[in-house]
Amino acid sequence: MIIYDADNAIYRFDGRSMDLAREYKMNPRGPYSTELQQILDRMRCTPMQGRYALLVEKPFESFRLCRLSGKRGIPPTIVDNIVYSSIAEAEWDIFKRRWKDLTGHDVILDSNHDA
Amino acid sequence: MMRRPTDILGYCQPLSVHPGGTTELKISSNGPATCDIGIFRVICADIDPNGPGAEFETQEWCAHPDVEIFHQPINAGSYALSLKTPEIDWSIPFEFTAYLWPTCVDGGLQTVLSWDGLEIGINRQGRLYAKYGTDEVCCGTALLERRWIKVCLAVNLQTHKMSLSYERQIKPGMLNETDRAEGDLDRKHLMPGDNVPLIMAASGTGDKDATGTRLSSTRHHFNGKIDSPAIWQQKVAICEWDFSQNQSGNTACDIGMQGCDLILVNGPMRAATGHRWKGNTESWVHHPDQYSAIHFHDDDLTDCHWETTRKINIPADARSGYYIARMTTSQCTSDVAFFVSERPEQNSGKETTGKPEAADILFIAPTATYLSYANTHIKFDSHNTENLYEAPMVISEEEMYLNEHRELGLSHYDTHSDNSGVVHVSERRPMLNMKPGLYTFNYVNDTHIIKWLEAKNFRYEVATDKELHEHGAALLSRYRVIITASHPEYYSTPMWDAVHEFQEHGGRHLYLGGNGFYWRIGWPENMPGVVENRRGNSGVRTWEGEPGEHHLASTGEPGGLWRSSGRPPQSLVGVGFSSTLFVRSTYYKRTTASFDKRVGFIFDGVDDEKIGDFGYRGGGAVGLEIDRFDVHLGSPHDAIVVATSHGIDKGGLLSGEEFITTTRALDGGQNGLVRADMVIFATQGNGAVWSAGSIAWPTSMTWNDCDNNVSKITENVLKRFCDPAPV
Repeated sequence: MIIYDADNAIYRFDGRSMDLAREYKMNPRGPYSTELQQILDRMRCTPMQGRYALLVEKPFESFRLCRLSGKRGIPPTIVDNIVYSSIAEAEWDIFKRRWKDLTGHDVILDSNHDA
Repeated sequence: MMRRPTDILGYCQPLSVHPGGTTELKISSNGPATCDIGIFRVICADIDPNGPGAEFETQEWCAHPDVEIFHQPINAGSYALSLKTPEIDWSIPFEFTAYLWPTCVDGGLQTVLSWDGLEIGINRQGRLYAKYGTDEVCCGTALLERRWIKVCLAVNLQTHKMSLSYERQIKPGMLNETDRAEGDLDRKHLMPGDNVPLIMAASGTGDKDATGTRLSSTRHHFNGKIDSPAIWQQKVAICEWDFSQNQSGNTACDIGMQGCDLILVNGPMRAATGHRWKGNTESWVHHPDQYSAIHFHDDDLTDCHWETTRKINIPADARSGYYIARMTTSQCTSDVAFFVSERPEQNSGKETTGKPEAADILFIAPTATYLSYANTHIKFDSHNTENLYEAPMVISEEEMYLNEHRELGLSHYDTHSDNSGVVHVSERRPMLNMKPGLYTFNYVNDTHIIKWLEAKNFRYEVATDKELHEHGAALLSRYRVIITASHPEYYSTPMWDAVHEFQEHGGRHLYLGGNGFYWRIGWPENMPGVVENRRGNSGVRTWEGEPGEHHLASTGEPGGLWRSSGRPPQSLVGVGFSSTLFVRSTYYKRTTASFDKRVGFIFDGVDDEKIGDFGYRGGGAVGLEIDRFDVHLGSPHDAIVVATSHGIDKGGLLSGEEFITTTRALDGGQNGLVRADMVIFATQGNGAVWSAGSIAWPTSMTWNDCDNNVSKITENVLKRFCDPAPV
């Protein structure tokens, strides 16, 4: 029987590579460079326990940040009452959070791009 | 507006009803005491404000204001229940034996056998125990998951002794005693009373219902397989249940002296490998003796058994189609889907109802697909979901509710609480993603076709694939054209054969989707409303069945991919599944072959180079899941590929069955198999098949108020197919 291993995503990347974070910011829906794709693949394979997700607060209008419990029947945990007004806004924030979680580095872009 | 859709839940039984027939609406309330009920025909279920526009047609023939509603419980979890209580001379020592294959020993209390005060089970520490009245014995070692053991409980009421032991199976036929626990029975016990049912895989806390075929309430369900349970006295089997018999039924035979057959409740998995399975067969039909087990789960569900709230009588002249019952309160709007389906001509009553002559076109609603995806939990349970969709999971209120209310039953994409795959799904329960809402895959997408047919003023009728399964080609014979939907993924043999027979007797077939005709399923005769699916060793799947368990219990046929049974989808519709493309949908371009004058009609009025570079799913008509042409997989040699996809990048992922060795270059930017092909071919008797080859095709048809080149091409083909002149 095949059961997923929460630790099977092992790709490591340099958290100082702001050019890759910038690439995502500029082109969030892809296609991505090979290295950015690998980073995103890593981010999207984080263990189910604690994985970021979005709860629909108001359909098509607002979305609340949460983390999955990873356990059947146990609801996600709301994160800091953060509410987004678009999926795109949420995806960029989740990207930055995961970057920090995986590398220890904050995503800091220059002011021209980080508007 | 969506307003707390989970305050009221419901389902219609049957899901598919004929004009002139009756379906029963069963509602449960999570709060409101009353609601208004209205019936609507669904033209478009897509509620996205940036979509084509949701559209529901009020039906004046049914309105129920201010209906009283109440909460109705769901008793999930499978078990076996004796229809006739065994009779035992309690003055003689007796033994209960069984083989067990536990699958979840670190969970809660689990009952293997329950018979009044007598009980055998697994405690919270994973250890085997037996209770008789207040006396209990417990083995010292925890059981291992997914290992066969043979259990024996011996009770002697003369010596007041009870002995519980189990042996671990080394291999079939070889046992090694592992643990034993003995205890005294200190007081005179009451015997199981007359007519107290014997229960396996759960303990009962309620009485039998009026039918005597289920209990009002159960608990402590066992997860795992039970094999060859028996009651012995003086080495004679008083009861000996042979689960290898009647595999397609919902009863288990007692081949002992008393004929105490068991009825199986909530659809545990039959045709399970037993303790004798040696790995030399994969078919319970060929080696029934090796399939002597039943796999029970604490979250199996085949029927909520709710009381009927209102009967919905469908007028004889009602249009066939997609329908919803809409329950509303000041705070809540909740929809329940059902289908009004055509039936074969001799039964249709058209001669007496005054309905107009049958339409040329029949749209086949793929309810097997809807059921297979119904109440999916993959956003919570399947780690690969986010990676597949390349975006964080967006969870609706319904999905939150489903996560916390597993008693609503699972989808074919889910695993049970013991991680085994879900083989049975049922229509007799609320299905929170088969209705207008945020979950657009399948049901909502298919209503784009309905909206388009209405917008283009085609005269069409609708039948469900369940009717197709039951009536075969007789359902189709009065139509010139059939349309199969965006994702007719799950097909039984009768359904496949009916479509093929229609094609080969002059029928014309538009296949407007992708990933169709992919899994072979069964509709178990003894479990109405249930679809059986076995995941084999191939195909895009979220779980893989246990070795040897890939054959359908309902039919004996190999389950899994049609392709693995020698019928690739290409052999039916010219194209077959190649890839997922859940991000960055793309478009088609015409092939050189498309300029053949025989097929030029397809592109009449279409001058654009790019076909479908727009749409509501990923921005293109080539998207979600896509199919390709391949003569090596059965595409007709004389079929013409009239268009093929362009622009697919890394977002396209080749399906597992499309490569047979570990390799690189599997994405759409590198691998030419990651593509969609549009094909047309002629069949016998002036028939023809045209396949779009992509699930996202219909959700481009409705773009720009149905005025676009995808719409135009579909219209050209449909009009041409309705014309009896040879194609």
